[in-house]
Amino acid sequence: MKVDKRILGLAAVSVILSTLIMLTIARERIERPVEILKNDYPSIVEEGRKSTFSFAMVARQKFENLQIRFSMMNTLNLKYAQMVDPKISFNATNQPKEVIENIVKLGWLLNETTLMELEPEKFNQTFQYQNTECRMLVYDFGNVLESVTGRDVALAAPMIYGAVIDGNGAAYYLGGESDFFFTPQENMLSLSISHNADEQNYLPDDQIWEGSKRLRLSEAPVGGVLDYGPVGKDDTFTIIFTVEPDSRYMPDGFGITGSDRPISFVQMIRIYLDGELYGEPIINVMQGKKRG
Amino acid sequence: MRTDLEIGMAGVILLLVAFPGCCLEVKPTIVIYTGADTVFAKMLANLTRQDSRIESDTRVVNSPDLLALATSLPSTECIIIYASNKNELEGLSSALTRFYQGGGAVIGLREACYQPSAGDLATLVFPTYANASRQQYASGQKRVRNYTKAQSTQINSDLPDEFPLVSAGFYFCAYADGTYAEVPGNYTVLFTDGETGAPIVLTQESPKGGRSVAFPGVWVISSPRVDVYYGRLVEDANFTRLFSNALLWAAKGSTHYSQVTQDLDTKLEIARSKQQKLIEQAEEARRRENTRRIIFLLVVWAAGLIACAVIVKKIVLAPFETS
Repeated sequence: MKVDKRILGLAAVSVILSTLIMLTIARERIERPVEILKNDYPSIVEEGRKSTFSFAMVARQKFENLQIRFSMMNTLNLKYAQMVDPKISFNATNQPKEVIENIVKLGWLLNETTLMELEPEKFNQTFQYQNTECRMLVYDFGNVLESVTGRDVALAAPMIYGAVIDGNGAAYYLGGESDFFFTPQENMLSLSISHNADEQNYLPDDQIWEGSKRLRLSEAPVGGVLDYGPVGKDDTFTIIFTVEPDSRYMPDGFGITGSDRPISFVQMIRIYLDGELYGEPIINVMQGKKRG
Repeated sequence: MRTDLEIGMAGVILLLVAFPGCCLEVKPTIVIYTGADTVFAKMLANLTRQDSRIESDTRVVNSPDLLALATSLPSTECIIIYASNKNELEGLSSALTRFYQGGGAVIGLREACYQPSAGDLATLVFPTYANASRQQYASGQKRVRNYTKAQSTQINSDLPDEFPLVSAGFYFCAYADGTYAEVPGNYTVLFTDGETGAPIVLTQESPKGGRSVAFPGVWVISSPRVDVYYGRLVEDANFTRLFSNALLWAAKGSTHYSQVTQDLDTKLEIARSKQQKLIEQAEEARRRENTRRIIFLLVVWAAGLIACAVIVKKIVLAPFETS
């Protein structure tokens, strides 16, 4: 039997093409394991005024464990005795590490934890705020202490410290804790946490009545840490909370900001995928304003 | 946003990599706070160091912030707090109450036992319910409180039945007329005040193993020129014995330190293996997923090839074969 070479060529080309298509499909990779769908926050947190924070993300692949950690830090107005060198001044050439090392409390905590051979998590990050490049360093002791003392104890105290130097040389000391917001029972009006269609709504404890389908805020995930077991591809996670700050329950120095020192609060959102931090922490910078 | 992450999911892993086989020993620490004036705190620290029965480390802190932080540290065995005013107790009530209720040891002196200054501390941790004070002394009268033994316990068995200690005043729970109002509760009175009959040393235990000792009658000041100078108090053998015994009872009998640190290695190992297991499970799941995908693609590819062959044979070659 004599076969036309053109037909053989056609067959060969078909085989090669189908192989190439198959290989192309096989090589396809998911670029990002999770995708942030929404990250809204107020630019100014004002006393007595409602502000809403919304965060939504979708998992682009399956995970055995997914954790979302919310933290809030505020700028600290350190007193004389709270600084290692109260006379020190910083400028744009200084490093955030030099600023953070001037916090007495952090030095004490580092010393105590070093004796126990426990290391904090460290984040060295750069971000833009009001057209200025800001460099930030954060130490978080919460994660490591949590494994020793338990989450309830470890996250009840302020275990996060940081420092920022902006492009103008303004230096900020930061201190904060792991939670959705400062003193949630007093400052938060509502909290909603959803995983796909499963939604849980929390209200301050004194607004819950018997038979209500809402949950008590005191029962919300401790320390703003959300843990999810096996997570499927395209699972969505949404966290929405509304605050109405009361200066009595806000950190010291709330509302004291100037045009030369605009940063009041830093919200940090971290995503851990199967126990490992995904990418970089999400940094949301806000100003604080007191009523009147 | 650019990041240079120097993380470690955590120190836990670094720690275990660095010290894989050794036993992690965390020395118990007694944290002492006497307000901004740390001299009295250092004197109390010296007392503890001089007592051979107490082998713990001591730390003196000068701010309520540091004391609140100490409640979250695994090494903190006992907290001693003396305050002269309400400001020195700011923000401490919830942290110390949580520490005590979670099994920690706490010793409170003076303002820490006074409800208007200490809030819940003076009821939940140091159950004096004190709402009144006695600071007036008759002219020529020595400024002392007479400690009268109410019942013998591990803390006061080696102390006299009655002895005086210098003091500028004393806090207690009183009726409107100033007489002592006994508050029922689950606490033990070791000594009563000779004048009022109110508890001047009392102890309490929390359901989770916390222990507290309240000294509402320890009221001293910093000036060495006066009779109620704190230096004079710490030189008094009865106070030294009473304080050390109370410290031993609270620190060694409470559960927080022992529970947190006893199996520290295991806890860290669990944290590490939990993380490792997660990573392994995730890798395994991804491998399974990849294998499934490759098998599926191979099947599709093979089916495509077969289809090609069939088309070529049946449709393209068939006319040639018949001709």
